Amino acid sequence: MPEGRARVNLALGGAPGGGHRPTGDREPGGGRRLLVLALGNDILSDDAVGLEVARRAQATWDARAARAEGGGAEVEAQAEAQAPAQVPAVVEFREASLSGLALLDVLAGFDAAVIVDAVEFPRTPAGTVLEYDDLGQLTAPPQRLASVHDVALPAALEFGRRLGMVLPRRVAVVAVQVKDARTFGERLSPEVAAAVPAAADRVLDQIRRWLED
Amino acid sequence: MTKRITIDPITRLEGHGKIEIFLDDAGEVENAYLQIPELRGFEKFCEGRPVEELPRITPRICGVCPGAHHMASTKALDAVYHVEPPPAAKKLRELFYCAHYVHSHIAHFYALAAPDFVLGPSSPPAERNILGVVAKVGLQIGGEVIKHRAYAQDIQNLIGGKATHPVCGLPGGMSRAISDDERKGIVEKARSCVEFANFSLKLFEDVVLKNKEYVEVIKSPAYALETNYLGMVDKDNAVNFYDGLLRAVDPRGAEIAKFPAAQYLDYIGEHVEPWTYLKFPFLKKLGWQGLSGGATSGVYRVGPLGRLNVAERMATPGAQAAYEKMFDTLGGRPCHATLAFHWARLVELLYAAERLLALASDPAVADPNVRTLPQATPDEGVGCVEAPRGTLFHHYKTDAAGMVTAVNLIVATVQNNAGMCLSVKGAAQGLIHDGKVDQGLLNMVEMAFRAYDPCFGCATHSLPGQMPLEVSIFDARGKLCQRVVRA
Repeated sequence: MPEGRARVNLALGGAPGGGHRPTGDREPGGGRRLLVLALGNDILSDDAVGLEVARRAQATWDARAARAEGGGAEVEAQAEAQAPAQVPAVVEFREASLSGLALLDVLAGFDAAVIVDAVEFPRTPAGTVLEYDDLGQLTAPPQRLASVHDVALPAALEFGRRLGMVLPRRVAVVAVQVKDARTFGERLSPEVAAAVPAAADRVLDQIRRWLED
Repeated sequence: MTKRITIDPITRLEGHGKIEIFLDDAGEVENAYLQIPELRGFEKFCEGRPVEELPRITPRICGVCPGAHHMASTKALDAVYHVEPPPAAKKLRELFYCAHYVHSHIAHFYALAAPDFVLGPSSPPAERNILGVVAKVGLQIGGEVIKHRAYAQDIQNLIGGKATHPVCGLPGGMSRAISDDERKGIVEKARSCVEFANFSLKLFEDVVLKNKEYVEVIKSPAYALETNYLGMVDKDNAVNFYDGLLRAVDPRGAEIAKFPAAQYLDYIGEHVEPWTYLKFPFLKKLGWQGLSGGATSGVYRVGPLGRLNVAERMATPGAQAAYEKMFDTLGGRPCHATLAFHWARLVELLYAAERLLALASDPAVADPNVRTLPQATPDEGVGCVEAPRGTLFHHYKTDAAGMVTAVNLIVATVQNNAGMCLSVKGAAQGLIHDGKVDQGLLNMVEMAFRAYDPCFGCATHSLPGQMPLEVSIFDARGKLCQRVVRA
């Protein structure tokens, strides 16, 4: 895995929670693999918001899984949600500071992925949570370089598929509008930080919707 | 009446630049500026931290060239602690670094340069991407691109400890040696990378050089810019990415200066303009003479073309042949054709792969002695490498406990700032006439700065979408006359 949970946070404030989760090929028996992929730079102020959102979502998810392991109604609810596949789905959380083609390696092998990122649109209030069920809502068919360095994600995904890679059939996006992602620092702006819980809920809602499909 | 055209990406995906073009009454280009947003506060962010953390912090500045920052930073630490790494550590660092180059140069050529040349600069935007490239040259080549990027990444991962943000470099050496088996595994991958680099040069020859029109575009005055050049060379004045002396040559190729990185402040000054946050480094010997090219200006360029222009040869046989062919075809060294950056990048891809193979084939690279423990009190040091995009300086000062008191970085894109502004202006003046602007022309203006592979920002985002450009033409009173949006 190019860049995952295990990254060292030397004197960078430290990433709260979250152990390294196993990666590898598809689960035996064909259980679905869902990915929450957080993108961002954790020393560039609001640019880290995607990472914070995903860390919060993972903490909630892990706590729920722990309760479920303890028995009770949660187990049944989860088992019911996953009933169609008969095999437990795996939900993995990853972080990356990558783009374009490099993301193919991170996304390969998953059935669906939620990408959590920071965005900077003109005239959108800081802290606004934006959600897209599908990449197609954000752009027409892949057209152009998204950055001067690499290719846009839709083009990268299409490229990977044509090469026969197993890539998520569904890619959703949860993004938070930044206030300042140009100044080095380890804190989010207050209005951006305030949006983290709601954005984390959206990530989990998306995962639950997929599990119920 | 002056018209003003702004090329401004609306959505920020990875930091973005803005091009402003001013037309005169006749609709000819009077002036053009490129503005690049700058990230703020890095120096302050580093102050007060233990200096040995900088090789792990500086790669996070940028999602594009973390390997280069890690290496420059590690070399700066050697200097701060006055420690000389053992030979195997230097070889291992260079091995890692050659893999970084292979990874970076492959991506640039196939994802960024190839669309303009394989499909043509004025092809429909919807096709002008890597999908269009593989549709034209074959899907199998797409697989080779992915495979060799993965090989290069595996090697970086093996030596660097982590693929994206390496953690291997320490003052005085490396954190871990490689085993002989690991070395042999690298040899196999390196051999394949050499083949792929040769293939890429062949592809360039078949698709670009055999197309007279493209060669004319590369050589056209609109994309020509005479400047000085700066790059790192070894003792034989051959290109070296990891270590050596810095050499500056004038537009005729004559040596202006040759100096160790530690003396960079004696040779390089930084000019400030009121309209941009980005500084304009210049050669102190010539001084800042304004935003202009030529032999009397202090403006210099770095990066693949800069490196090949300052070097008298390449250190490996295949790259040497490719180097000779490039300069023979383009009319000798130095070459001032900005679009030749792309060709130079492929020559360097072959050099990086050949050097990778040579280093990995030497059993000494797997010597377990990869660390000299620092004994001296830390104080100040400069580290310098050639990043894929050009010369990269890291300069640190610390107190006696090794806590950072000052940091100065000079990155490639800043050094190419003047060159990019002049190239954009040259392309705009050569291509835009009678106030007529269309999407094909805009792409061709953009090509002038894309050749440098500039690093606009360092946050790495991949949210989907194109890089939309909006061109607004204003009259002298600021009234909007025309708007062109490239979807």
